[in-house]
Amino acid sequence: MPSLDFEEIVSRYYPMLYRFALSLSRNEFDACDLTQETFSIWAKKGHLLRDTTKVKSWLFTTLYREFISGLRRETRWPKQEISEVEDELPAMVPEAPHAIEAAEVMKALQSLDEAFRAPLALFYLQEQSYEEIALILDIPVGTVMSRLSRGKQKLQQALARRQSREESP
Amino acid sequence: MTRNEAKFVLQSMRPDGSDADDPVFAEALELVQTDSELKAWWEAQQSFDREIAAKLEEIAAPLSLRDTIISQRNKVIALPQRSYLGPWFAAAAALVLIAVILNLFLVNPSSGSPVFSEVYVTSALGALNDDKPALGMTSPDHGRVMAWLKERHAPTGTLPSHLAALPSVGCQTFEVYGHTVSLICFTLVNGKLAHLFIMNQGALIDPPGSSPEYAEKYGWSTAIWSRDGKSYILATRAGPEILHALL
Repeated sequence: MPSLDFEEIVSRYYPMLYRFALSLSRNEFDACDLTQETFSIWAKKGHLLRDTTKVKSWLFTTLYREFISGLRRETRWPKQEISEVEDELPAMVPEAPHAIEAAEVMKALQSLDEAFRAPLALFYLQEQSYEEIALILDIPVGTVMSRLSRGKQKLQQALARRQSREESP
Repeated sequence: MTRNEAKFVLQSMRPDGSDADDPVFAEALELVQTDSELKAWWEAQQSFDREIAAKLEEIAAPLSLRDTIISQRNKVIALPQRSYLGPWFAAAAALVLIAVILNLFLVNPSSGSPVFSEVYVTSALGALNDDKPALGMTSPDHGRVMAWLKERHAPTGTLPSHLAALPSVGCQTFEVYGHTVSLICFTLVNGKLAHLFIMNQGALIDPPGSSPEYAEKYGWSTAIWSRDGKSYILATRAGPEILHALL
């Protein structure tokens, strides 16, 4: 990125940051606040970023830290490695949710525990690799992988529950 | 690498192909080519991932958000510190203050009783918590502020035109004797704040008239008036001249 024009950065990244914020905060008011606050911090501190190729990661990291600092969570996220989730790896082929609306997918994602929600949201935004997700969330790469693996199963289950509720008379 | 290990690793590979050259996935992808069951699972998994990613891509950010972010950058706005739990602790403190004030003004109060205007004003000023009101939501967008209040069945009323031209900071609701009071905060051009309280006129024993009554109370410049079934208090620490200019 040759220059760091504020408006250009906002235009380029605010939709994806909003989606990430929406998945974390679970409501659009807080998602807007988080997105705004992230760019407000960028306006004040963005000039300190030396590597201009890291703007996107910086914004996602800042948004996530703002969310966490706001939440003031006291419990630590559980860490799982493959040995702990191996038995839960799906043998069945997951079905793609063709008939489900985007809002329903977001609701299903929002229904997940926060430990799975953040890495899954970043994964499905497709803007960051698993290694970058680990840096943003400040957790080991192995933990990202295990949360993606387990989180996808939970997402499939949440979607299946929503679909079955819709189909029931 | 076993089939399960391959599944575990491959679930971190983005469906848009961005990670195709990452060597971490190479061994698992080789196994996919020789294990038909794994291959079927992988194709279905990629299909699922692509579908979820596409659905989330459909979620649109509010159209006004970009403009709001850009416009906010150029304003010196004294936004209250936003936190997810902080406002509720502050709100609890404000409610304690309101309760103390109400006890000073009324004897044997009962929920739902009409409220004296003086109590309404004093309760409102107490809620401002030394110009750091606890806000339930923050937004410079009046439409979103009003929508938030309406969702909570709180009075909204009509904003005076000069006030309506200012960006909002956010809003909150609280109760005075069982009557819901709305609070909307605005940013003045000098960076100070103005606070508008709205209550149903019928909740007051002695509602103010349609012309604003100005007063200086506890370091606040205040104006109180009624219009179209709502009673309003406007309060600021910016001084009486600025307060007059807002109405």
